Amino acid sequence: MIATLAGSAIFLVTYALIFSGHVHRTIASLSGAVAMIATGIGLGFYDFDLAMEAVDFNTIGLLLGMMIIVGIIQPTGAFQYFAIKLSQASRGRPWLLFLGLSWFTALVSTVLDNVTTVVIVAPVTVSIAEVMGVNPIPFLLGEAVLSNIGGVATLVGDPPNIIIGSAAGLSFNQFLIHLGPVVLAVLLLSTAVFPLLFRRELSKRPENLENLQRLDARRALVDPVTMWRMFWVLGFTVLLYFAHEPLHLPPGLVALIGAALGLLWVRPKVEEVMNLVHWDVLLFFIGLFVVVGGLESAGVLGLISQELGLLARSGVLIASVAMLWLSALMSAVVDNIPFTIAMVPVIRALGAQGAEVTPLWWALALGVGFGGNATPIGATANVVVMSVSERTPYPISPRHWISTATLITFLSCALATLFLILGIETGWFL
Amino acid sequence: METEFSAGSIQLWAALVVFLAAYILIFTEKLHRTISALLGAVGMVLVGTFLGFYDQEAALSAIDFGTLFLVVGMMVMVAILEGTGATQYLAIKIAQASRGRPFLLLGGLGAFTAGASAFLDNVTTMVLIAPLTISIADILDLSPLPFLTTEAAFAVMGGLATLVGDPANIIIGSGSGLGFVDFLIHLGPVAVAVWLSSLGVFLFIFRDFVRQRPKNVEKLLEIDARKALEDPVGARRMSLVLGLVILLYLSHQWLGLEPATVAMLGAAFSLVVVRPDVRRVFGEVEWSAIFFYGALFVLVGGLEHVGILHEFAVLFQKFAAGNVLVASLILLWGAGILSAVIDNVALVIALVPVLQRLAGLGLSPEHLVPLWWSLAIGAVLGGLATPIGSSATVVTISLSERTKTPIDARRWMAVGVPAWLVGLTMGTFFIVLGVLSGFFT
Repeated sequence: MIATLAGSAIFLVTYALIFSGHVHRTIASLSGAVAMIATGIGLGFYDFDLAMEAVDFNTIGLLLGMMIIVGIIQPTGAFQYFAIKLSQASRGRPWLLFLGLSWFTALVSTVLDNVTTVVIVAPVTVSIAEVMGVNPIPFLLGEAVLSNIGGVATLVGDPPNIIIGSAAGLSFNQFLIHLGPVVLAVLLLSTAVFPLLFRRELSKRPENLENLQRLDARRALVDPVTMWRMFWVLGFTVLLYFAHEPLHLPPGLVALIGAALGLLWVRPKVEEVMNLVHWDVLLFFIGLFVVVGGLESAGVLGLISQELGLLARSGVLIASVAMLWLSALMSAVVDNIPFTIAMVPVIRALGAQGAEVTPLWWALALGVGFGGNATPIGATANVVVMSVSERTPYPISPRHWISTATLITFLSCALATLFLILGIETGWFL
Repeated sequence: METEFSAGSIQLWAALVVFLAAYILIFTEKLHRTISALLGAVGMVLVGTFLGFYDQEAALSAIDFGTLFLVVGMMVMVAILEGTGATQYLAIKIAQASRGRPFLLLGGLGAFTAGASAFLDNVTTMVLIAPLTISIADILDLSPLPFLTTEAAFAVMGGLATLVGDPANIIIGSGSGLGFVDFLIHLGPVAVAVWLSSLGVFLFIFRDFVRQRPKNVEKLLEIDARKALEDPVGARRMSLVLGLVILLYLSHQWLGLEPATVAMLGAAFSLVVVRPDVRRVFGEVEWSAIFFYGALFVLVGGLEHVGILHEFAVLFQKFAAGNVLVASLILLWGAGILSAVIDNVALVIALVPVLQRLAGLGLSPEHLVPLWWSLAIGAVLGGLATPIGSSATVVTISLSERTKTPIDARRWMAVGVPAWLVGLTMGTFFIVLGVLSGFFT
């Protein structure tokens, strides 16, 4: 009893600290993890070895591998090069430019970390908009929203999917087959709605078209040799993802194979690449896994799962739709990673109660993926875009965000619900 | 899932080839050691998956996360401490107390380096102390060379004294289950004896140097040590946290806390109390080293799964004829010589599972204890002999390049080889004494 109380208290304080944003999230999660282990040793429900078992190192390995790959590509200037090429191909028609940049971001985000993608593409967008003399707001908003949507399509597209795939044992292809069509539909819908919302800005003729054409994209490409090598490495890694299940290679190993190949072929300065890896994010994940693992060991989830049995019996359809909207709502206001990590044992417990959980995993992935678009703080990519826009004459105001992205979020969740219902009724999502 | 394979089995050969290829790649330094180890680890898991002796799950359980998190926790604390300037402050105070007399300065700075590196990472200790030493020597118009070589040697020896002083000790502690107090009681005296005797040797080697009269002593005394203290509040808080961490280390076995938990506790606590820039602090942790250790564990885990290490343990047992003293001395000198040329972490990670296997071959855990101490002494002190033997030496040598007397291989060996000999001889003496008196068993 004391164990459950202490475990829940540490969990709640840690999550409250993370969500309040008063303390750096890594400090909060590490402190929570350490407190959970120390308390667990004192009360006899948890220790260092159990904590290490609770950490999903497949997720950590996958994130690490992909971060190393991104860390090698990032300094080559490849992202900037393609962004400039795309804008020149649009010949200054704003809606074509919008289409090109936002779909480019969405596509890259399906394989690479979307925060990195946005961090690189957003400043380029601002410069291109400046050169053309147009308002950058629609482009920046589109990039943030579409990169968040694009990430939902694959196992490696965003951190919640990595966590879900690893916990549920779902493969890369299963993600692509089940979530890919939903994402494609949502992307099409958003591309249709966005230009309507921004019809005034996007119909304006650009002032300095010739300046744009005069930009030399090749100057942005600092290291073309490395870029080409990394394209091959990335292509090979994606191929391995497609085949990882029949080859019995866990996704974490595939990412690390890609990273090892990249390091071997490009031979970058290891220290510099290591500095580009977001270690604070990895430690944040590890701390969260340890905290939630402690909660599980303390028996808290066992208590809840009895209540959850009720939900499980209410039918898979209602449970999944509820999961989708709850996740979307939560991700709109708080960081979706801690939420996802906390939901994993809950869904597992539901499965132990005899519920069909596969649709719940899909619902969770869709909800946390799309929900982040609802508010400027819902996803890291949003925060990045907001801060980039603050340095331009056209800062994105929260009102801008709410009046456009929130609508998109609502529409995408509605569309996802439709897919979910259809998928469950036809048995496709089971 | 350890399986027995016949000597000629393809699994066994495949694992051995991957392991040897990776280790050769690491030792030739054609590639960065982290890349080599990562390639080896990925190769081992891939080969293991296809031949059915190893997979990602087995590889993950081969990683000793106790070691990794202990290193991360200590590095986080060191990074925060570094930002406060406390180490530089103390070093200046010590130099001023010596009033510039080379003899006292050598002993004082050497002792401080040894003491600091017993708890902190050796490389960080040298990175903090070496530049300061160079400027102090400049002021006094003395050659910095004797100070730097002594400090580097003492940084290595200091690491021997505690569980957290050297990565080799951390790995041995985690693999053997021996605690902080065990290390302090058994290896602390060895370390002190080695410091004292090598200090004598150094004073003899530099006998003309230490008799010199320093110039500009008043300039040294004029330095305001408080200026080096960039963040006095942070320094005070960090010394409290470090004090608490040392107390926890001293009682961790009794409290049932693993050393890694203590280190992470200290790291979390110092992050909360000092509130440094998190990105800077995590940026200063040497992740490529952590990554290297993790990959080595995976690599050696593959060997363990095909049973080679078991065979090796049997061989070692036969060779030592079941005699603990003989086995200990083979280990001490073997590790002492090998660590002079190869990375001692790579050596220790491969040897820990072999020693663990010995317990299953009729050696009782008490008999195993002296073997752990021998491995620690050999692996830590072995690095003294050559300029590439330890990371503390490598860093000191590169920092000395901007002085008038850069340390080259010859200059290093003039000090390092005698220190190495004295260290291993002292170690032999203690091991023999310890085994015969029963103190080490």
